[in-house]
Amino acid sequence: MSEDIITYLEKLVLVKFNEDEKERVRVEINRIVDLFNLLKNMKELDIYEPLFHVHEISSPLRDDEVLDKLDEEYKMLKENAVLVQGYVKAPKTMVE
Amino acid sequence: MSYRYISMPVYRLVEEFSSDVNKVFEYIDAIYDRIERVENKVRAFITIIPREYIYNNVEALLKKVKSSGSAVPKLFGVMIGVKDNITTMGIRTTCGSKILENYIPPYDATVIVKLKNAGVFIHGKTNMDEFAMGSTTETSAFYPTRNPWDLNRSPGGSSGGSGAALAAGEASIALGSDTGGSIRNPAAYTMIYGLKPTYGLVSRFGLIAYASSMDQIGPMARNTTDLALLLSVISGNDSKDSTSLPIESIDYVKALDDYMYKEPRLRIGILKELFEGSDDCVKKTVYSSVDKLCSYHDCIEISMPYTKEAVAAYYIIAMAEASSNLARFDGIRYGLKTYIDGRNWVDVYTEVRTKGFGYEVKKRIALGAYVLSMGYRDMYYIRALRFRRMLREKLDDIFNNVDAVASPTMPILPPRLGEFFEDPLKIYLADISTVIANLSGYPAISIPAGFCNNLPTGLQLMSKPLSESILLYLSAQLEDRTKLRDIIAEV
Amino acid sequence: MKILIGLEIHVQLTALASKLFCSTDSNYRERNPNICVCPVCLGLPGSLPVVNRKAIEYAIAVAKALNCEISDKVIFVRKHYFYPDLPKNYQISQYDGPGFTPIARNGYIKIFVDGKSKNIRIRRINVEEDPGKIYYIGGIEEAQYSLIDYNRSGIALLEIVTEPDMSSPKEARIFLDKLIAILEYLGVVDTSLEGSFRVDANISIEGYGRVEVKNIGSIKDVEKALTYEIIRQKRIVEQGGVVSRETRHWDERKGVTVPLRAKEFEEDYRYFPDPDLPPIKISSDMINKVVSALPELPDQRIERIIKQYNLDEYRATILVLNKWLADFFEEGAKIYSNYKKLADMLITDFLRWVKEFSIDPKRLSVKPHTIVKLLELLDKGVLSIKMVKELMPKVVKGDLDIDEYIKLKGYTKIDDESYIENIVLEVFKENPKAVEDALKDPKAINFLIGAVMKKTEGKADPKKTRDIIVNMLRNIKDLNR
Repeated sequence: MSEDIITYLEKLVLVKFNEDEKERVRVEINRIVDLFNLLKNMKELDIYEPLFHVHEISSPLRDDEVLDKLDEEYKMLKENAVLVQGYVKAPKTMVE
Repeated sequence: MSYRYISMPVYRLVEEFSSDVNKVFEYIDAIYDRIERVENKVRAFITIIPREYIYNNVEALLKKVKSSGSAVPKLFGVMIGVKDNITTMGIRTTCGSKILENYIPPYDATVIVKLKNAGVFIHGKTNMDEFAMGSTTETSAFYPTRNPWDLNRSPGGSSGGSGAALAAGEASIALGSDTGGSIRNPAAYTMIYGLKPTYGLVSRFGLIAYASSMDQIGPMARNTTDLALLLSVISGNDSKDSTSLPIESIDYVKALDDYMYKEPRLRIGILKELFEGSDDCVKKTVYSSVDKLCSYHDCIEISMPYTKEAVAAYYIIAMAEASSNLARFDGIRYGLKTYIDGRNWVDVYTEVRTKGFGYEVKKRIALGAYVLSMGYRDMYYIRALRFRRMLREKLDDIFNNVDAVASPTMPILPPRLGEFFEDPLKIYLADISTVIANLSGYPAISIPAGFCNNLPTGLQLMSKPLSESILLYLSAQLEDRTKLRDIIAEV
Repeated sequence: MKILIGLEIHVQLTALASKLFCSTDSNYRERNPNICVCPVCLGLPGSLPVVNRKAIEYAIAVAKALNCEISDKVIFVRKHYFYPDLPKNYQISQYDGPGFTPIARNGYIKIFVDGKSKNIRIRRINVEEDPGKIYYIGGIEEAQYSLIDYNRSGIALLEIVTEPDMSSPKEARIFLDKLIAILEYLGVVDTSLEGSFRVDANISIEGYGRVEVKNIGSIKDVEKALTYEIIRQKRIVEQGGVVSRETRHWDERKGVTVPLRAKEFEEDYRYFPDPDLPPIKISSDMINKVVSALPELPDQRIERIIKQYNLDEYRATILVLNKWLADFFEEGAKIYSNYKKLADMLITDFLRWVKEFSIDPKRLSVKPHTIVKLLELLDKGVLSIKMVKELMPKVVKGDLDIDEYIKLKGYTKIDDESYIENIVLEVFKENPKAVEDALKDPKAINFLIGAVMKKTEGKADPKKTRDIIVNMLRNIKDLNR
């Protein structure tokens, strides 16, 4: 795996590796991908459908009702976010 | 005098408190005194609730019970250490990460609500690998926890803080979470009992997600009965969790008593490859514990290939889901903050996530995105899910012939701190025994097997979905024979 | 040059009380910011989604009304991209690809264009959650940061995607009118609510790249935006250029589409099924329950109105596509049997003024019996057609009490000429001998006048009547020569 792919992944998940980490992560990711590639060679897997959920249950469905009618600004946001006139402050999004 | 409270099983504490409710305060003092003595060496906790706070809560609850005339809750007065990825209202919940260093959740996880209803008090949030990504509690952004049995070694992970707190007598019971072995691994390394329930048996609502299709909250304790007691409180269907099984809570203590009374003879499969792949001392010690069970039950040797491939499949799925679950951490609604004005969201988010996440977390998020990205998803993520189905079928075959499958919980002894820094693949492969239960959703328990060079080892038993009673039964039997229960390490 | 237009429509299920994945109040409009929120729709760590049953039922209802194939299970996926209005930085949605099925596929809506019917195919219907809303103090250019209101986060949306079957902006407009009518009949959305119905369009000239146009604010704008874009593309092609695939943004003020300058989101959404939501089985019981509760849909109502009231397709369609108008019509039809006249009056003058005054049909104060009264007075000749047209605006606004008006103006006399003419013709037919007599002897005209007065209960204006009879007799004399 090349440095280009690491850079691509950094952009995909919005994290950056610093200079010290970059080489280390490249080596480690390559080794881990070698481990992942063990599955590539298992021909017997082709006949199996992917198992997304371990149990055969259907998602429960909820009644359409309102619980906890809220009347004031959600307190948690006051304590954990930066609010401006009740709105959560966030960075600019690009001009469209 | 009150030292006896340090090692007293919870089911005994409950008896003591029901005879004299003032003993609760003696108990609280005992635990907190112990914490004061050993915590600076062990570092099991990220947050410790001030002692006075617990006093006040106990008194308030007593008052309420008296005035309403209702019964005293089942486990009234017992204190619990909770892994710091389980949401506790009003109590800082960090997941061992800088990005949540000051996050105070506005709601309780369902398991916490159940514990509170049972009269249990949370006295601390235990240390963990950052976002549960690790097997030694060394990736915690704050500090590593040390193994009370050897302070130069790791207590395992990612629920290392909970394991160490139990082994050091800083908690009577604890909650951990298990995605790839994170309850059983520290249980084996700290000589305690830890259970990963059947997927869906315990609600995940309020568990800060790592890999949603495999995460489970589970009990950790110093003996089997406490494990059963805690499991009874936290298990059962939750309408807030769509993956929760439609099962009402079961009284596992009663189920355990039934089994111990009837003492059925079971069939146990000894997983050949996993014993063979373990260090000699571990292999020997765990074998001898299995023998203690096999003198009564029918043991046969079974084989399961693809154990290494299972590790590959596990990490592919776990990293993929983790990269998705951790996308929400951007510092805007909660968490680590940075300067916003004049900057665009890509730059701000990147800065917060780079500063807030540790190296291992960043690496797994990046790899997780890789295995889900266009062109690679079929080759890795989908393929890993096919493996998962194949594994399940093979397990179902195995469980047609046996009731439980045995293997060493970990193939190695508790590693020295810093031992795995050079070779991360080695540490991933140490999960070779534990990941099978997570991939398949089947329940598994780690039971103290014995000391090896004065270091703890554990025996893992795995069974079919919703067979926790069988695991508890075998655990109780082995416990009777090894007497490895309610032991506290000298720190 | 063949034009290919496809539409991507997002409909909010405003009829739901709670959001798609949590029990938070979905009635978020005109409330303070960040009030209708909870751990789930804020995506707080540890929160989990639980699906709203009614949202699925509404989706099934829409799918049935659009003649779609309904999937036997609903699979939700995570669609990943980072954006401040998306609390989890992924949207729970659906995806159409191998292994992942949207809730419905392969349907159609029949529309009428220039007298011919045409099916516009529906490619798929998805259920998904709405993100929050982004605001800027000042303008998007000057602001140093954005402001987010998460009230809308988690609201249930249906995404309806068509095949590129529309070949003109007019067809697109007709399609949307029909779709909105269907949705209103189903009662799943109130399209008058801001933001409840959003349209993105895909336009291409056959053989060239597909251009996506976003940010079309209202249905009226759809025709404008499409017309502009087609002209723009045609011009490029005529000058020998190539239209390449891109995304453009409709600027309503300037009336043009502009290329999106922004960094496009990474196209790699890394879809995978949401592990927090096992597939929802759609049983035939569930579908039958929804189908049996379906109200009469537009096409069915058009057919019935044609049969029941003997109207033509054109009139029936206009009534039905404005549901409230069809309701109004059928109410009036209970007490007035000249259905064609009633329909005409409603479709022309009445509808015109309701639209002119932008009256919300839900707030109309005028009732069907008022219109019926107007028609009856018209029939009797108390009011002329001209008068009715003049009075209509007041009637629509609810400012006119007809009985008072009639009393005030003293309309006991009938002097509408065309009305009297008709009566005279009737009288002539019924009394051929009297006509002969009147032709011979002018004085015999009084009999005919008397007959007309009898028929109009004495209300016809005598002078006008005499003049009309004289004229008609003269015409007959001329013919006889």
